[in-house]
Parts: sequence; structure tokens; C-alpha cells
Amino acid sequence: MPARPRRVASAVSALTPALARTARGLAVLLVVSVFTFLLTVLAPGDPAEEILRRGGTQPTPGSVARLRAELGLDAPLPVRYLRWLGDVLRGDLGDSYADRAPVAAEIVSRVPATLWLAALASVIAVTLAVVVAVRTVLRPHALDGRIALTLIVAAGAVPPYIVGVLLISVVAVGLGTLPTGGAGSPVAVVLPAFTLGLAGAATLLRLLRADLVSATRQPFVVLARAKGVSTARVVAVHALRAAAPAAIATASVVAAELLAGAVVVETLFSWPGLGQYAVSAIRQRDLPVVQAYVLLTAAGTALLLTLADVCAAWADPRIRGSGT
Amino acid sequence: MTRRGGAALFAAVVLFCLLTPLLSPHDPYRPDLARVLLPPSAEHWLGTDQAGRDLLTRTAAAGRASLLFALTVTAVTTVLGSAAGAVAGLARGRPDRLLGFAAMGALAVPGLTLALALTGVMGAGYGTLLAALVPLGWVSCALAVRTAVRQAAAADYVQATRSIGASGFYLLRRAIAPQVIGPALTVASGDTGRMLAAATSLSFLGVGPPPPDVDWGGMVNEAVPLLVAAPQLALAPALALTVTGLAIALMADALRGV
Amino acid sequence: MVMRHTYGRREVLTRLAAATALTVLTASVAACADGAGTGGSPTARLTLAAPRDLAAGPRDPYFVHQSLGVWEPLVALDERLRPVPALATGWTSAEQGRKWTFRLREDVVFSDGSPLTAQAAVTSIQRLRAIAPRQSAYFSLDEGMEAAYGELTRLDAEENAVVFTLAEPVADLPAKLAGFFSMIQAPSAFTTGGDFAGDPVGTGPYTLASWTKGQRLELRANPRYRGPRPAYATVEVRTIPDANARVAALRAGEVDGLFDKGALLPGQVTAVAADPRYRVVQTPSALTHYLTFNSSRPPFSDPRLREAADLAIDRAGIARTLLAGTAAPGGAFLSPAFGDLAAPGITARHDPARARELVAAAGAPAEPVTILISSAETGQFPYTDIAEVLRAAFEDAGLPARVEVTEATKTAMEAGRYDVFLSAYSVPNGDPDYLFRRFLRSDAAWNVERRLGYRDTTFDGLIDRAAATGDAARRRELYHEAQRLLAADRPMTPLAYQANPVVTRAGVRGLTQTASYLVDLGRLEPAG
Repeated sequence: MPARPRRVASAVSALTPALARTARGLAVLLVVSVFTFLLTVLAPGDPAEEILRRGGTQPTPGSVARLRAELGLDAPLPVRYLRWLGDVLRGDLGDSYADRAPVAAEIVSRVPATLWLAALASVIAVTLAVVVAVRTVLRPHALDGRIALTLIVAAGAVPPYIVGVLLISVVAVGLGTLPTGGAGSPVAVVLPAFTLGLAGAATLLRLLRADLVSATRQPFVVLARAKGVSTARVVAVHALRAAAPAAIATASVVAAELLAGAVVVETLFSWPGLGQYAVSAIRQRDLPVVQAYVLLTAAGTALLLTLADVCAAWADPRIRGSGT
Repeated sequence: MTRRGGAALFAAVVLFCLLTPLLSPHDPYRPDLARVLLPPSAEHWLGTDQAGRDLLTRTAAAGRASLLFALTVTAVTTVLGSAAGAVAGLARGRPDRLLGFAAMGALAVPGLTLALALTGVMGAGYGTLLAALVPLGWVSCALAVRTAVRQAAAADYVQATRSIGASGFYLLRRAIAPQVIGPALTVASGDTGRMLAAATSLSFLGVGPPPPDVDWGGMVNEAVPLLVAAPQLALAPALALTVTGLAIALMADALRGV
Repeated sequence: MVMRHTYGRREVLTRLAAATALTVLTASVAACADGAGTGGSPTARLTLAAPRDLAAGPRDPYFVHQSLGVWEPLVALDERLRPVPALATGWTSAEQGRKWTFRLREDVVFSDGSPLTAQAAVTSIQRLRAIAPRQSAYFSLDEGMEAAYGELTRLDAEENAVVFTLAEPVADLPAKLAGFFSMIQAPSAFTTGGDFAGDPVGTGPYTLASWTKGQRLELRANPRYRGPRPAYATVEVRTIPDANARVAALRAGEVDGLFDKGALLPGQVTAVAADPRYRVVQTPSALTHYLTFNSSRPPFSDPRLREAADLAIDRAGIARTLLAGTAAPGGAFLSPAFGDLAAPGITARHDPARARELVAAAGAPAEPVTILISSAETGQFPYTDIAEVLRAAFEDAGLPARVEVTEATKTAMEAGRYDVFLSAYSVPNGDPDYLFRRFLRSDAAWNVERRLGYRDTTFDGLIDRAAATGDAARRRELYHEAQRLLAADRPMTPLAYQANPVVTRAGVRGLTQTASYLVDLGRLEPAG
């Protein structure tokens, strides 16, 4: 296998595209920032009045006017955008309308919870998907693989909010084995991660299986088999690698969906992550929080997608471009 | 076999959703406070809900709304996504970079959060739901089609056909399209399930179709406070969603010929 | 060679059966899943859950909610919204209500060891005025704090008394400043800018030991508290915003009780109350579901059609079924939580036949009337269902109707795009003047900006006189008269008076609640 020279060469040639991709990512973020800003700013309703109406009380017009001025809501839109962008670039995401606490600090304190949840969910999803996919493609008639497949497909057909409600009722309340939510104990992450992972597993599994099956029909795999490589090795190494580009593309989509799903799951399980923060902020029209959340999630996802791009190019020699 | 299994199940769901409201003597949207939370009976097969509406009829009517909406969104996203993916995959260069840019933007913005925020700007309704879910849905199809087009274009036989001077259109139609339709349909069938889940998730979070319309997510949302007292209220729409999701998943597998 | 795998019919059925079994199993377990929660927490420690953060942090005007018992106000409210002594032992007014003197308790020490002096109380109240307008997670402060004090010209510390001097006579200052607006914390708690320097420093039975925003907080018994030591040395309060998760935590035995506004949703109450393992307390609150009519445009500019709409509504049915008995059918403008200030003898009739006659006489509108609800409120109360019931009732009376859910209700209302608005309102203190003056007086922002179209100089005169009358009986009469006027004119009509159900395990005794959702944590104790 003459792997090394090719990898060095492609690493060098990949540098320029990597820069281009970074530039593209930044451009995307700029567009997203304008969009986010407009979205929250053009939302009807007066944030100043809504802030003062908390607790169900009706503020005086004078108070509303003063708070508007204090929050800088009276300035023209472009000025407000530039101010906001300038602050963001300096790492200041503003203060929450709800409790005047700095948004950046709150987000920083919540990121680990979301990452931990997403990581565990991904591990669950990928493990389930890869194990079952390989097993069922390798031995299509084995009973265990088929049962696992059926269960995952069936569970994947149920949206996370229903799985979550059922898990809370059965596992947490009924059996009393795991906490119903929150982050008070180290095992509290299990149910939300499982809920989130299950949804991802079904999607991944279906695509991985399809890709594996079509990969096993590819000429080079057929050739490998003809050369006497064992079936297991063919599927596990050659076919899996051939199926990888599409799977990586899918994985990035699934990861993005995982983040979106986390919004529901975190709300359901009172998991103190970013998703829960965002949902409650939207409900309270806490604009600085919504803006910060959308922008940061966009930045994270853009990073993820860029990495996925690079990985996909590495995994499939045909797309890598330097010729096989 | 498979095709028939998934399709038959899906057809059964569709028939249930379309026919029940027509055949049932009950109005799925009309509350009746004198008949709330009745147990199942000959008149109300599944009983009535918290506002005295027939649960069976309401589940079917909600299914009609859920399915119609999921299919509409998927149709839009598949057409948009396939077109974008095919152009980008074939032309490469600038269109490809543009697709990459748009796809990254669309994927980067957190979909459900965006949808929730959008309802603040546009108000709840089908227009908002469409505007929120289409940007979320077209990407997967576009990326799948682009990858398929590229892989097909890179395949030896296509290169060979090109080397003997075949036109781009000929290549697209005869050599590449057959390789692409599979992935596109696969993604589309999967997307129907995803859109069903996404739209009902939004309803579950309280941002659904305008009343009196309701979808399955909205029904679950209404039923959650009564989960202990009357679990059947959540069970009916949840079960309907599960069966539908399963049918769609089976059909997707069948389409791929797995 | 190619590994083609097909699903047989049997396999489809297997999958279906598996999914069905899973769902049925889980639901049936959900229905009877009661076994595990044994509770049994040590007597020294109590774990409760609330739907929102009861600690808002150092940049909030109050830091913590009054319900935690960390700080106390000068004046508190009882279960009928009447002002009762807290840190003030009593009060007197002079100069027709232009001067109010609140005498302070003498045995009070802050949790930092410093004594409660008149000067300390004045500093604390001055701070509230200085930082207004200021948003809060609980009760935002208005510019000038007029809702709390009226126009305040001086605030003085006298010997063991705080003296308010006002520009205009104020009839019932104790009711106005009761609760949050007369919070007293030690001067050492605040920075010069008016934020908190560190933890809150109050005089209540508990101190704030720790808090994690959005998750939990822990209270510890205050060793310097003047009253009896609370039975629970430590109280943990978890924040669980999701209603289902909250009840699940209770049923799983993770928490000993749920309290605060919206602790149990109406739909959840029946099942929990029927369970002998829990003790549900349901006391009237000041929260009232109101229907606001757009009387500035047809059809509801016609009083006959407002009356028809009002008569078409089955309030008792809504309160009994959709609100699951957690609410009482509306009648007088002020809820029974206001005690004898609520006008007696006003009941809203349910008379669909008369409603039809009225519509027939006035002429049915061609366009359907718009019933507006806010998506912010649909999660808390079954407003979508209630709106659907209203729609059916209106249509039966001959008024075609449609329901609109929006987040931006203010925009919709200011543009006049509504005919009836359903929403719940409460009061920040014990003073009904707030409701009349902010919502319905001819120049009230609500009335004018939201196009209620209600202009009545008689009504304006009544509430102005009531606000300035020191004689309690006379004041009550004026408020009764104003409410009779509103019952006849119907610019805004109460649909139902909402109670706030709270719950503890049966093993916890002493749960009480005031009309403003305050639970006295210091009085909770293990049963038996």
C-alpha cells in the first residue's frame, strides 16, 4: 500500500482548499449574523414593554420609554447591528433582558452540558448504527441483527418528544431506576442521551446499511472478494470505507439534527444545556440570548461541516481528486 | 414484498385519516363540555378528549393535517434540493461553491430554534411552518444528489462515455440520472418522516397549525398534562405517529431495494 | 453474491407488533406507575421543585423570590390580599393619607448580624426607587414606583419607624407596597449601583446557601431568625420548567413537593389530588382570566353583541372541565381573592337562548369575530381549548367566529385586529386601583393603545375618588359601584378566577399559600 507519499501530497494540496473553506465558513457566519439580527429585531412587539410586564403587570408608558432608551432600542437598525456585532467580536454577547446577567457567561456555563449530552447521544447513535448495519449486511438472516434492526427502525419512527415522555413515565417514574431529569446526578444524562441517540441511530443505520449494500456491489469490492479477502474483512474495511463519504455527509447532517433535537430533549428533561436556554429565551423574547444562541450554534455547526468536508475528501480516494 | 408491506401500511394510515372524518358522525373540531373524557363506548370508540371531542375522529383529522403537511414540505424540498444538487454536482465550480455556501448556511442555523423564532415574526400558521421547515429540509436532498452525481460522473463507465464524446445532457440522462434517482428518492422518503417529526415537534412545543386545525404533535401536547388521568389521549396520536413513521421507513427501505 | 435482503410480510407484522407492544406497555405503565416513589427524605432536608428560577441573581432588584423566606417585606398580604404586618408591626396615616408611618419590629436582626433599623429600611426602599424602571424576573419596577407608592416626595427614618410623605392622598398605601415593593434587605447587601454585592441579606427564616442558575438553589435555616427554627434545616428547590417533568419528579419521589405559580397545570391536578400519597392545596389567587372586548369597532362596539357573547359562554362548564375545577366561574371584575372589595351579587349568567335573541335583534356580523390568544399562555392554561369552546358558543349564538393564536398579541391588538382577547392578569400588590387604573380608566394605556374603546367619566370618577378615600367602607362602596358599572358595560369581563394548586407528599405538613402564590417554607414540617 503506497499510502504515505499520497497522504503528504494531499495534505499540502488540501491546505489551500482548507483556507477557502475557512473563508467560506466566515462568510456564512456573517450572513447568518445579519439574518439573526433581523429576525429578532423585526419580531413584532416591544421588548421593553414585555420585559417590564413580567409577573403579569402592566407598565407605565414612561417606564417603557426609559427602558427602551437604556437598552438602545431607539437607535437606527444599522447602528444597532454594528454595535451588536462589535460587541460580539469582543466576546460580549450582551446582557439577558430577563435577569440582566451577561449572556456569554451563561452560555459558557451551559456549553459543557450540551456537548456532553450530544457526545453521549452520538456515541449511542453511531455504536448502534454501525454494529447493527455491519451485522445485518454481513449476516442478513441472523435473528439478533434483524431484531435489533426492527427495534431501532421502530423506535426511530417515534419522534424524540414521545420517546422522551414515555421514558420519563416508564423508566424514571415507573421503575424508578433513573432520574426524571435535571443534572443533579451523574446518571441523569442517560435518558436524554438515549432519547436523542435513538433518533439519530435510526437515520444513520438506514443510510449506512444502504451504502454498505451498494458498496458491496462495487467492482473493487467484488475484486477484493475475488482475491480471497474474507467477507467480513471486505465489509468491515473496504465496503465501510467506500460507504464512508456519504456516511460522513450524513453524519454531519445528523449531528446538526442532533443539535436541533437537543432543543426538544433538553426542554423535556430539564437538561441545563443551551437548547433549554434557547427555548426559554424564545418564550420570554429574550433577544440577546436568542441572537447569541443562533450565532454560536451556527459557528459550531459550520466548523463541524467544514471538518466533515475534509474527512469525506480523505476517506474517498475518488473525491480526493489526485486520481486512483 | 417489502414495497408492498410499507406501502400497504402507509395506504392504510392514509385511508384511516381521510375516511374516518367523512364516515364518523362526530365533528373532530367541535368541543362539547357535557361529554369530556368519556371512556370508550359504542358511540365513541376511543372515548372523548378533554374538550369532549371524539378521540378517534380527531386523531384521524389530525393525521390528515400532519400527513398533508409533511408531504407538501417534502415535495417542495425534494424538487428544490434535487435541482440544486444536480446543478452543483455537474457544473462544479461556482454553482458548487454557491451550493456549499447555501447548504452550510442552512445547516448551520439551528432549525427548530429558527422555526420557533420565526413564529414570533410571522405568527403561527402553515406559512410559517413552511418557511421554517423548507430551509431545513432541502439540504439533505441537495447534498445526497450532489454526491451521487459526482460519484456517478467519476465512475469509469461515465468517464468512458464522456471520452467518446457524449454530450453533458446525454450523460445526465442516460448515465448519471439512474444513479441519482435512487438516493434522491431515498432521501425524499426519509425526509417525509423527518418532516413529519419536525412539524409535529413544533406543534408539541406549542407552535402548530392555526386552530381549529391540529396535528398529532399538537394532540400530544394537549394530552401531556392528562398523561396520568387519561393516557389514551396521548397514546392515540403517538401510536398513529409511530405506525406512520414505521410505514414511511419501510417504504424508504423498499425504494432503495435494500 | 449481492446481499439482497427483503422484508417478509411476517417481518412487517413483527415490527408493527413490537412498536405497538412498546407503546401500549409504556402507556399502561405510565397509567399505573406509582410504585417506586417512596420518598423518605431525612427530616432535616426538604426538596421542592418550582416551574421557574426562584433565585434571579445579583442583578435582579430582589435577587430571590419572596416565597423562599430569605427576605421579608414591611407589609405582607394574607390569603385575601389584605395587608398584614410583617417587618412593620402596624401603620397609621395622617393628613388625609399624605403621610404614612410604619412602625418597625424591634427584635429583628439581618442574617449578617446587623440590626434592622429605620435607616436600614429606608436605605433598602430608596434603592428600589433609585434603580427603577428596572426589569425583574418577578415584579418589574416602574418609573417612580408609582404603582407601589404613588408620588413620593419624602422618605424618612424616624425612631423605629419609616415615614412616607406623598404628593397626593393615597387611600391604602400598605396594600400598595405590600410584598415585593417593600422588600427590606440589609444595606450591606447592595453595591452603590443598586445591584447585589453578594448574597441576599434578609431577615427571614432561611438564607440562600447556594444557587445554580436555571437548575437549583439551596436554603439553610437562618440562625439569627427571630421566630421558631424551621423544621427543615435545609431546603433544596429545583427548577423544572416542563410541567410533565415536574409531576414526574414528584411521582418518582425525587422531590417532596411542587410550589410557586403554575406548579401543577389544571389538567394534572385531578390525578394528583386523587392520590392519597399527596396533599394538594388549592387556594384562590389574584390571577383572573379576562376577556377583553374590542369595543372600538363592530361588532362589539354594539353593547347588545357584547352582552350576547357574554351570555353565550358557559363559564361554569369551562371552570369545571377544561380548568379541572382549579378555577371558579367569573362574575365581578375583582376576584374573590380581593375579599370584600369584590362586588357581591354579580354573577355572569349563561343564557344561550337570550344570546341568540340579542344577536338576531342586533344583526349578526358578516365577518367572523376574531378570538385572540397568546402563544405564550397556551402552555400554561388550556387556552386553545377554551378559545375553541368560545368559538362554538359564539357560533351557536349566531356570531361566526375564528380563533387566532399569536405571540405578538400587542401588535395585533394595537392594529385593532381582534374582537375578543383572552388573557390572564394578576396584581403586583394588594391594591385593586392598579387593575382599574392601568387597564380601564379612559386614559389607561391598555384601554387606549389596545383599542378597547371604553370611555366612561363616571367610572373614572369612581376610581379616582376611591383611590383618595381614607375611609375603608366608603372605598369599598365606590369599588362595588365601579364593578357594577363594568358588569353592565363589559369592556373587559372575567371568565374565571384561577386558583393556584400546590402539592407536597403526605409526609409533609403545613403547606399554606397566599393569594400571591407565597408558600411559607418555614412552616413546613414532617407529618407524624
